[in-house]
Amino acid sequence: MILILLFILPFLSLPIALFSSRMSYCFGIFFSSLNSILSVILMLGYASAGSFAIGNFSIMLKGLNVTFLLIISVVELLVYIFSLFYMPEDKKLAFFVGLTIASINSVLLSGNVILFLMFWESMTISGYLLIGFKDETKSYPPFVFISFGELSTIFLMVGFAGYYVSTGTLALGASLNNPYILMIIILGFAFKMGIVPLQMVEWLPIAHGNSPTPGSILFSAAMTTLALYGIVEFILTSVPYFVLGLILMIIGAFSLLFGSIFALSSENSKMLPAYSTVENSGAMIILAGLLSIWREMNDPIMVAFVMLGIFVYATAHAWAKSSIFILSSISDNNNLPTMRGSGLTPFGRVGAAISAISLMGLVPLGGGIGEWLLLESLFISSVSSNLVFAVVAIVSGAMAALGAGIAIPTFTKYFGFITKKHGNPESGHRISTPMKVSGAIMLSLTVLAPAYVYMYSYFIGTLKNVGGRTIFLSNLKGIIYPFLLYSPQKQGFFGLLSPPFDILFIVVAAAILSLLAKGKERKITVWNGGLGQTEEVNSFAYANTLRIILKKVYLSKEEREGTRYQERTFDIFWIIIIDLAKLYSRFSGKFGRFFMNGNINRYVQYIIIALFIVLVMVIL
Amino acid sequence: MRIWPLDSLKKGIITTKFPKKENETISPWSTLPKRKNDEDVFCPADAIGTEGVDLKKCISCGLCDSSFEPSLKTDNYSMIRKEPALKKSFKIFAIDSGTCGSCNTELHSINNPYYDASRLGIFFTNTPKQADALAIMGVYSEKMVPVIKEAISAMSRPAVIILFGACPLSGNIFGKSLESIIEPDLVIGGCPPDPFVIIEALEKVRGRKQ
Amino acid sequence: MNNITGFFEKDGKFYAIKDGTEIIEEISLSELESLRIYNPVRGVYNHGVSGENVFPFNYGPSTGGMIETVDFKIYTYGERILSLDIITDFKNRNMKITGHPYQEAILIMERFNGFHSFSYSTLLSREIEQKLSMQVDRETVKTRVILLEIERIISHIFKTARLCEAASQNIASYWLLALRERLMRTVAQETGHRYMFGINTVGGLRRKIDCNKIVEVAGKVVSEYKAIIDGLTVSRIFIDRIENTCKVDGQFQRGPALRATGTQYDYRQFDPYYSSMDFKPVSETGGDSLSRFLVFSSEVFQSLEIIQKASKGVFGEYKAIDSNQMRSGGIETPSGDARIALEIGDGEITFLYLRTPSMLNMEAYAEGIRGNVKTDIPFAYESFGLWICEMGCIK
Repeated sequence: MILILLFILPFLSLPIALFSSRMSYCFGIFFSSLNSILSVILMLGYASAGSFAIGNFSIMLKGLNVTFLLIISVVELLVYIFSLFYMPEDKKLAFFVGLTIASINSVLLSGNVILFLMFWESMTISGYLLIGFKDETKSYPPFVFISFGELSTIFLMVGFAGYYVSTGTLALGASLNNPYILMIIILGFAFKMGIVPLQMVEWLPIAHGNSPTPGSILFSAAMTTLALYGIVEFILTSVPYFVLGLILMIIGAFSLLFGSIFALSSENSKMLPAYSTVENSGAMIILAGLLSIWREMNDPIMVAFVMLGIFVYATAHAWAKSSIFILSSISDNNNLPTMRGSGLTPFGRVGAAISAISLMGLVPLGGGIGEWLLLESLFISSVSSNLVFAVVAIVSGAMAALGAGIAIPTFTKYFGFITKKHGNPESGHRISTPMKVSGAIMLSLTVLAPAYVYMYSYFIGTLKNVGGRTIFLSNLKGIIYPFLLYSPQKQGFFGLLSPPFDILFIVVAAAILSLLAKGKERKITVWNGGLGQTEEVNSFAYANTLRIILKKVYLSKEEREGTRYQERTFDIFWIIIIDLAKLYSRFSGKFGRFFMNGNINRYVQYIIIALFIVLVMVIL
Repeated sequence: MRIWPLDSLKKGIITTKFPKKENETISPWSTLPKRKNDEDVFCPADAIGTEGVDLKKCISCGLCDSSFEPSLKTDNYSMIRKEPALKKSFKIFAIDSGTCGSCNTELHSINNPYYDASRLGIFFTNTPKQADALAIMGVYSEKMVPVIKEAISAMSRPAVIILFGACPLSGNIFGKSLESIIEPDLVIGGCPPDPFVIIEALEKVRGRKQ
Repeated sequence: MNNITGFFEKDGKFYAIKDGTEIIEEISLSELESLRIYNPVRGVYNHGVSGENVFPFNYGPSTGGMIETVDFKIYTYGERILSLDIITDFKNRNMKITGHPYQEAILIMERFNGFHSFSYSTLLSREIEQKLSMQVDRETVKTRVILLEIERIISHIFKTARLCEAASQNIASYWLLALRERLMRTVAQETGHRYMFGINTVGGLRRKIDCNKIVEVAGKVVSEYKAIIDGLTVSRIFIDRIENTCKVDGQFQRGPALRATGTQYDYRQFDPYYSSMDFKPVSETGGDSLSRFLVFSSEVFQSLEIIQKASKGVFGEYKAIDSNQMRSGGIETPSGDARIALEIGDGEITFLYLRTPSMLNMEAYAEGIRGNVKTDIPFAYESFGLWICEMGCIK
């Protein structure tokens, strides 16, 4: 019963949005809080929701999707809170946001592949409408979004067909034993996560499409997490396959490194976090690869540990990324070097700092715990007796560490320049409350880290195919029981981490220092060689050192016209795809003029909606 | 391949023991000239008065050598106020308001191995914010006045202000002095001052030498 | 080789000074304005550029990194130097020599650039001697040549030390500073002043100077300098930092900076004091900081040879050519050739124009540093031997 309610509630927000956007946002806050509380209860085993089916319509809330419901519900909660405070009047937007969220929730609850595919498609379309509904939007960003979205759907369609043929059932959770079909399905999901070389799926619609912030959050935080859910769900239920795991690790490592390199050089306040999503997707794909390999190696403790890594990493990333996108709407101008707009309240600023530091992957914040779990899993893997696995683990560990290192200047730059004091306090004021909420949620990941770890570990133990429950909490050297997080080894501990004690130490030390230094500060002006303060280094200059060092990767070009200089960097993969697209369009242009002569954008919409209707008809 | 630290060890110690012991050498005409006979003599800087040579005006040219000779003493400075709080560490920031370049290099040469002022706790710094002493040298220059004032206000206290060389003290023979806009705690004469004179003057203003 | 190397205005007419000749020619203003050296000779070094994200990064005027006061506006969009504005007039001293009697004029000239004071005072006193058709005895010429070369050695050692300091070769840097101090102490003992102030006068030297001690110490100092240079030229850390840094291809710069681009031009070739020396300039072809370093370090050895030759050799009487025509003398200071145009009358100087090497080398520096990164600034700057004090403003 509760399951049907969960399924229907998001759709209820749509008619409400037609009357009052504010009401629909409040309703959204209500049901997303409800969802997250429910998922916590389910994870701790106090209740169970089970599944529900009529004919081909089958929904479920058991197993993996409970955790992902928690992650995504909190993201949705933040989207609603943000929308309520930032732009409460736009009904059209409220409708499309509600539609996208309803589709996302439905995908999560789907119990069979057909339903899954249908809502996956409806999510893509509503995302497309969310980017494209504004009149001033350029036509190509939504177009890119939809075309790669369709690529993902095609792979999934083919994969699911294979799944049906191979297992004889449409329901999710059957044991698939064909690695090729598994690979096709995983690629279908991975395209949605913006893996290298298709990372433009992430950044292009977000950055160039002027997509509204709720859209950015949903693309970057929710849809990516959903794709991860798909990958993990299929890896966990299928027969494990060693080579597949290695391939995923390599793909993930490349995405991680390139994502973080491109993130640092981004000068667009939305493109930078979007690239950071590519980086984090890479990390999560590495973990998915590790999951496949450790399952094949039959090590239940490591499987549980890697699963814990996936959960914590996905949680920290999705929440912090939502928070960062909320921060990005501090200015209506997206260009970091010329950004204007601040007036963030001190607590709002703290919230923003917590999310930024979390995305840097610094302990003890959530992202740091996720990063620690990722690196520990890779280190443990690198001492494995299987040489190929060990080497791949070392290489991807090195790339992961390098990428995580680059993430530090990236978000230092982002936080530093976006919260720089300027005029226009209004927009800063509007996002202060959402920033405080998201900051508090992020901080809970640190302060309540043992609780999260306990909840996740406990829940992982109940999952099928994991093979046993291990709670990765311990006590050592005066740190009392639940506050120490450890990584396993054959005998004893491999590594240890205690986020609550770290944060306690930092807070206490900072408090003592500020008490001691009280009243002793001396304010003097900046010494600029004897002149008054003249100019400020902009964010472009901040990242230019790396642009010079990695000239070959960025294809950076210095353009000079008389005494006007300009330096441009390019996404190398995007250029290749544009070249391919040009080649293709030259061919298809000639071809197309014979058959169709309408607006190509509308035409594509029409095709896709038709496809959707056909799918619905098939189910019924 | 050369191993620099070994080579430098081979050189032995060349650093002076000054101010504990006598100075080994001095640039003769950079010290204050003393009278050897009563002949009248022309001074281009108008430094010769009835009481002797004015250290603020003397430009160390030696044109008076018919009736004067170098005193070879290291007392070519005068202290207005001393600051004993700077006994342990003393950081200098040098400002050049209009020099010929020799004061700048003379001031920095107290850091070379022959003098090694860091053994006395005297260092140079790159910003007046960290400086205990401001060494201002050169003649008055319109554009440097705000810079000097900004540097003085940026300094932490306690601090001393040093006018360095004949140029800021009297304007040398071609410019204007800086004394009208700056109240110094220490003035060092000479054109340019000898490193031994500089070291002794700095030691005195820090209250390390009576 | 007759490219224009300086120009001045007198009584509403413009005159151009050319390389390799003392003759001054009249020139039209429009012709002047088309010259590459038009702005630098006027003390203007504006090369501002604009563009997306480009901003001027301020360095100076008063910093610990520079010996003298100078302000750089570095146009950049981060790390790479797109262009450079140099503002040199912060320490404008407005020195006035015209109207002063000869002796005072020489004292002021010594304080124009104290670091190269002997070169400038020799230039001025020799020019006055020329105008007065005064005969200078051979002992004076010999001492002047020796002191000129000693000054060159001191200046080049200092430049090397600064370059080592910029490249974090601290032991070499301090060793070189010690060598310089040793030579300066000897100079102070023998001449009465560390910077050779108050020595030159019209028609000779004011003090009796015994050069033997100086020559002896110079020999020892230079042999130690050679040991350091041998160590530096095999140090990858040092060479990597100065190689390909601040490449200049122009032909307008002076002194070691010009000879580092392969041009064999040195004013000592035309200098009557050096006529018995059979002088051959040192040159390199790279045009970068490394080439300049190689040029001035080998000039140190060359200078020692000149000193030793001079102290043994016999000089001819130096008799000035009698000429009332306006002409432009010159001298090779350690940084390059300075050119002078002078008129006298009634025991005092009535007109003076001075084109110093730093005026043109500053422009070469601004040209060469383009495209380098910010960390290259010290290596480039120190290799030119630039002195802000000689940036014009003397009348």
